Amino acid sequence: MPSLLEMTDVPMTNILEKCGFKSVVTLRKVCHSLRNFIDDSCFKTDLDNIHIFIIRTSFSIICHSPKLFLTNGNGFGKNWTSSDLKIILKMAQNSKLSYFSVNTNPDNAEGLDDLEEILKNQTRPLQTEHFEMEGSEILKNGRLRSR
Amino acid sequence: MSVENAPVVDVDEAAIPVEKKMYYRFESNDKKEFRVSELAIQQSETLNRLVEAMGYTSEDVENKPAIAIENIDGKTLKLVFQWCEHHKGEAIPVDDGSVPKIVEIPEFDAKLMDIDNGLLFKLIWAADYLNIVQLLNVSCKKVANMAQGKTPAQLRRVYLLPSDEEDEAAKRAAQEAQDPRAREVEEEFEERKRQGGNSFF
Repeated sequence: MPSLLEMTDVPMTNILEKCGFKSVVTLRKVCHSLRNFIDDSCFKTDLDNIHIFIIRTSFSIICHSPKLFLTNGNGFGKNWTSSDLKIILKMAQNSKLSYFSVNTNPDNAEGLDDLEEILKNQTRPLQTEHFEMEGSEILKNGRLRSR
Repeated sequence: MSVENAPVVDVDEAAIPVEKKMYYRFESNDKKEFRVSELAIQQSETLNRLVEAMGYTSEDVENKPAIAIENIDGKTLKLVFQWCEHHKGEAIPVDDGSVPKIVEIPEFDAKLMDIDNGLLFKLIWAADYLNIVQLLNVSCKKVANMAQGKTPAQLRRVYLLPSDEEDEAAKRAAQEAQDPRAREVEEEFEERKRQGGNSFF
């Protein structure tokens, strides 16, 4: 009996695009082959809003799709590492966001450097209609390139 | 199988115009024959190009052997052609790059796809191979819907996927089958480790 993994790339990408972002995150956890496929392939997601809160070296994230879903079911993802964030932002690079916001506390949080690194290393610049950045004090100019 | 008793895909009688229409004959890899109308074939880009290139007249269709589709079985092909007949004449959607693509599954399609997962995956494979855009869209949508609100363990069952442990065990088994010496070496290594020596290498 054929399994999902025996599908060729076109239907697989088609399925992932229709899955919605939350299911894709779950699908990544199913097995290595699927995770590798998701990480390597280029597909659009229904991701619409990303709000990132940087607290020292960890990240809290709220994501919305037009259908409004929340990363861990309780409202947001907490204590993420920069590699978690990288996965989300990599997925987002194929779709156009309507809102992208970054909030830092304290302003010199190391996480900000990680975020800068991730955004620099994206194959494609992140597309967003609105970008907002908020710090607890005065932000240094040009820390984050809004693209 | 003779042409007379070839199974004819269900066709809505009222939809057939009075003039004589051309029906093409296709044969699946398990030698089941199907007669499909010209209009229905247009849903499949692959088949449409094929029949255009062949330029059959209505006599050719009857006299020449059925067009073989070698990598799709009869069960799957029947579903594909049923879908094509039901949706014949409908516009083929073009990818306008909008996301999320909103795909509604019509009632007919939902009933048609009320099948086990193995067959559904075969149907998707066939839709991709025959390049039937809308069938691919609805069938992928169905698979995507199956994933909603499930845990990784449930998804493994739904999509017939092995877990990482099973995957690795299978890989190891395959490797061992290829190289029986590998197992012996591993066992020897384990044995030496148990004895406390690390002088193996």
